[in-house]
Amino acid sequence: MSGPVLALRGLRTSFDTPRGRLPAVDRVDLELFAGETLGVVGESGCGKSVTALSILRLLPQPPATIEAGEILFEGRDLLRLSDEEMRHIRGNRIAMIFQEPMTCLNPVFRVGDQIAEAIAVHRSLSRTERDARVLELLELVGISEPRKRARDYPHQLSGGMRQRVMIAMALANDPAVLIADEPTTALDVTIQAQILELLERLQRRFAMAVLLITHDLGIVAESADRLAVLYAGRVVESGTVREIFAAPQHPYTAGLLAALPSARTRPGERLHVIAGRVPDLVSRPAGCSFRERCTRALAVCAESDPALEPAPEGQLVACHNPVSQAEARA
Amino acid sequence: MSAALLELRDLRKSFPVGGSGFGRRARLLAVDGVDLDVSSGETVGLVGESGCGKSTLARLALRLLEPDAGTIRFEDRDLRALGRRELRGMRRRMQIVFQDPFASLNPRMTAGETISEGLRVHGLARGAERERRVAELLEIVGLAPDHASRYPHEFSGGQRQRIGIARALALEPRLIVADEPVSSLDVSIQAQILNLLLDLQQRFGLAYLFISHDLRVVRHLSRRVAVMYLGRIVEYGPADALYGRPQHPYTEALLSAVPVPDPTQRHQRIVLAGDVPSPIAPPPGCPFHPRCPKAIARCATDRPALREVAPRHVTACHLAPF
Repeated sequence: MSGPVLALRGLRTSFDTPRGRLPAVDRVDLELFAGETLGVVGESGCGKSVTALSILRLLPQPPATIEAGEILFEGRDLLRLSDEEMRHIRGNRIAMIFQEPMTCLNPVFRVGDQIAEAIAVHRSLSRTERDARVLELLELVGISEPRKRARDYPHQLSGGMRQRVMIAMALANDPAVLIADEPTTALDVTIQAQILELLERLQRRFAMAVLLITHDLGIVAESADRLAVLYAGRVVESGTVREIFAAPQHPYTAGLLAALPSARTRPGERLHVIAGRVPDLVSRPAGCSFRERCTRALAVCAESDPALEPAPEGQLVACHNPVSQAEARA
Repeated sequence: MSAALLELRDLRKSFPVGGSGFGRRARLLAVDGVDLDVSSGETVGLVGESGCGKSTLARLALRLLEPDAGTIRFEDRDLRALGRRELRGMRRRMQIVFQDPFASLNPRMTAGETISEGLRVHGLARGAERERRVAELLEIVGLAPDHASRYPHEFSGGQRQRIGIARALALEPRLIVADEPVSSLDVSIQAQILNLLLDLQQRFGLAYLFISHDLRVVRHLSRRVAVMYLGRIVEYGPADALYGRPQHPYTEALLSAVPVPDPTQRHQRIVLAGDVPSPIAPPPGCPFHPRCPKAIARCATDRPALREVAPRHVTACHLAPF
């Protein structure tokens, strides 16, 4: 088996804030293989978007600084590339889509021209070739009457359609990696179903690797192959979706799954609650960041921050007292 | 059977849109003939996608918006026949909790002032008595008495939602209309607020009209569920029956589109074509027919009325029961 297309090793990204330095992402390791979808889940402020933006070096510096780590893509460390070299990667080999399509669509240009522009930045095609490619892309993402829609401005399209246009733009140069940051969060559930279906189809067709960032465990269960759970800027558990949903080993993962109304909960019964809230990352306490909310914390949890290590059951877990498989299934 | 606490009949509301004053302005039909009952102590869930009219319906139910037509009965009194003073008296017993805990609290009022505002307006408690009541309400919703002197920006999203709930509880209502109360919260905080709503219902015998786009959350709280599409209720019935055997193709598609947090369950997603049509010019016949995978010729011309297909289970579909 070949190595990962994209690998993050010990990534640490901090922000300078009036209250001091805030490490939003710390010692994050992730591997993404060709053709797979890796779900990155976690709650607000856990560092999932900062991770994505760090990969593409899209964070404004300052206040952000990528302080440590490597981001290996096709054998090169993206953190060592010049700005010029990075421009060849961004939107070309690695593309990104966002929750809000207007993040990358310009309201005053026709959508067809914007897609054409995304192509022209990386490829020299004749005008006719480029126009043909734009129509092909619009058709690919399921936009009917592409010739007509290409002449529309973003505001003339519905939310779902704008999301499709953004996806067409991201795919314009056949990227090896697609980073999707909460791509369906702003959409209604029936439109979300359309977009998820589209992403799955495109991924199979082009054997893209997809880094799917979401807060929705349901989306991960349905769309991802593997999963990394982030808490307070660290990966606390990673493994295959099947492994983790069947037997979550980090108490935070277990807590998140139990907090969700699902087929496992009975209507009207009390849901599992994770007490307290995420710690302040500026003055992060020593030891495990989750320990103050954890029902399984031991004395050691206050002393040392657990490393992300292989657990007997196959996944990686950063916990001194992980939930055993027998307990998780009970 | 006891009479409903809240009874909505043929409620209608449209809004003028666009236009510059010349000729006829288009009207957006937000709520188009809705009937709905909520009994004492029960939770009725109301689901639907953006623009289906669920939030407008919530505001009409409390007469925060004036309906164009229809009746609203609360505790067996016709709310539309009441004068301002009488209406204000009734409002004590019907409260609302909003989605956005950031926008729905006044940033210049302390938590205590926010919670006690209703008591002050209704002249219910003063001075030390009011303070005691605020402390009690804070404790009921899981906050500390000293939180009373803090301002909204000092609280997290979940805590703000607790303040919103304490404000609604202050006047001892019988009905709380909760409009997407957990939609902006993270999963672990969402669970805390849902538990709180369940506890309060048990403790005070509250009835909820619980509005959400999240079908999983609605299922967890509601005994009966109504599904809205383009301003109309298309299906209404007991939660178990509606989720187990939906009787409207829209409900079926909506349920199938919800991602299930269980990778061993591979279910068939029904992907509806296209977007929700504009409520300014809704399609003729059944408003769902252009997207319906089961539509027949008749659906394009005849509007289906709600009819009972099982005990207390109604649907507006020509083809039901399924």
